[in-house]
Amino acid sequence: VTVDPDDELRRLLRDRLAPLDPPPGTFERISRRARRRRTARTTLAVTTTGVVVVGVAVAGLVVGRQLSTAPSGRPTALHPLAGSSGPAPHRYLGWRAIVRTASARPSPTPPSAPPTPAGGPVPQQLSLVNLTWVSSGLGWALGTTPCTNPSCTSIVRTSDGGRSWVGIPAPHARLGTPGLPGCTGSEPCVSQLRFADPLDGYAFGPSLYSTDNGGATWVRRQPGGSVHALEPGAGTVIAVVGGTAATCRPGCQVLAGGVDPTGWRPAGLTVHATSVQLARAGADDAGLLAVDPTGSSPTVFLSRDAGHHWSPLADPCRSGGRATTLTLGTDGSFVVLCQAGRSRWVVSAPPGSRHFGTAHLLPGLAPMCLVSPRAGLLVAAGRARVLASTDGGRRWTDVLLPPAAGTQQGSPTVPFVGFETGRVGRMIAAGRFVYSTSDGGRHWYLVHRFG
Amino acid sequence: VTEVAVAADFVPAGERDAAASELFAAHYPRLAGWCRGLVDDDDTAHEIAAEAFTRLLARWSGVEDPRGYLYVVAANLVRDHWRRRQRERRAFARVGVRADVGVVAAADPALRVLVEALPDRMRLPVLLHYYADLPISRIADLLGRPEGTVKSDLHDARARLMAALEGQR
Repeated sequence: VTVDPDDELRRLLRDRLAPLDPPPGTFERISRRARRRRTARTTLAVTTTGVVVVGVAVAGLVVGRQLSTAPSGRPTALHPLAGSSGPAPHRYLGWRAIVRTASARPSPTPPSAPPTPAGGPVPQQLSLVNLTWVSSGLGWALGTTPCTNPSCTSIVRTSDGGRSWVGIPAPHARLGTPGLPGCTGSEPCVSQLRFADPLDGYAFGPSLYSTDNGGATWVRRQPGGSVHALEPGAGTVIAVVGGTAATCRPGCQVLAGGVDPTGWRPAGLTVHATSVQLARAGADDAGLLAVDPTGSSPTVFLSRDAGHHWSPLADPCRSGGRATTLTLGTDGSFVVLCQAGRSRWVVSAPPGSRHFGTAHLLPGLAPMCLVSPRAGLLVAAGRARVLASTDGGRRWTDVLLPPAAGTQQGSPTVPFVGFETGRVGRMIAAGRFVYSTSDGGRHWYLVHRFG
Repeated sequence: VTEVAVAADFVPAGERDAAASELFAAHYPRLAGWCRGLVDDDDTAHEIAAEAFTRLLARWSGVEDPRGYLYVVAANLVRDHWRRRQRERRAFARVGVRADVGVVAAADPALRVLVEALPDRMRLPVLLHYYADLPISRIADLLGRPEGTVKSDLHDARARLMAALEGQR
């Protein structure tokens, strides 16, 4: 009899195995674990698919724009100063690829979804004062038009990065400067516009109006006083509310919450100031500047949790100066503009730090706007010129001579400069010109001219 | 992976649960016993068998051969367990302590050690063919190797094991 080595090995290996009954509850535990993994895998799959779809859509948009604009669609820079290089088509097209904004959470709707409401014609002789963006393409502008009705406030919307605009409904409120005649708080008046996402937006200062349908309808809100500052970001909103129409005296409360104004709650900080500025970076970082020439209390406060808790910052100006402007970079760095008499200087703190570095004088410019897209980069807009610095304010270079024609008496030539990322920013000049930059403010290109 | 994961969610939940329960009752005891013959204790055997079932149920409708899938996954987990144990043994050896202190010996440690010592390419076919009783054609499908290669690996493994067993007698 021959022995089959295969059979012998099979007997040796397999026959020694005895079944092992499962401990009680094993199947239920396995089912739960499997269900969790299925959910996680499905979530990952859906997210991945979404990212791919958005990526393809954005790439298609970029290619489409490139084809449709070249060569006649090349943008032009108005009044570039000597020394500043001219616009390059690839630079101009580049900013369209940016899909993130620091001042708002990413758009929950895909880029191809038509924004609501549908929109109509842009009002004639529109003069802009404020811009807000929720993605590289989708933005709104607040402005006014000459009209016989006192409420001539208009809002226009773009879904292609500013190249074309449509008019959408605006709140029935006057557009004015808080505290000045017509905007003293006794009548509805707004001065700024912000959108948290494609649907939720706010027109405010000192009155407050909100929309939850992309601007199709606006509802007046009573948050407990005049709204002096409001900044959305990553699905949250911080607002400074109280005082009179023009000042935070006797005091304003800082409110924080979600996009619905009825859910805003006091954050435990009350400020007394002639004016306040609010700046946000990313989802959680926020800075609040309370400008009070006569006060001795801290003027700068920082929050690292979307405005729910605040801590005062040691006076960054020292040397008898007082802080007049606060700006946060998208990387969490922050810059304070200080003033003493006619002297102005900037001090900066790097990302994550509360310690300011060396002060740098701002040469011969009374800035209306100062913004820092990221650490080291600064853009200052004055009445007649726009300067940029790439070394934290040590050296400044003229980057744009904004057109002044059409600017109303007493109105700033550049009423708005803002950055959505560390490189991409927008500017309004003379109420009619919308500029964009894709390199942190060193070069600006005209995107659209109203009227 | 994406397609499998998404497809699994389109199987009606009730139908999936009933089939999973049936499969568990039919195969778990034998799979756990199979694992028990390869590892040092009951807890580890249950842990490996439960993990194999979890992976199967997590991608339910994407698996054509559930039983084969269970054994391949379990075999890989057993191999990982062995590697962990080897690392532990080496670490214990460095400090002068025996690695198997306090561990219950497996049913047939001598034979298991021989299987454990086989090269990777031979070990998995042996585990699936002799321990799990899977035919060579299914092993070839599950491992993505030609049938001839699996037969050759089994032949080499058998020769090594028999020689070692003869030597022990």
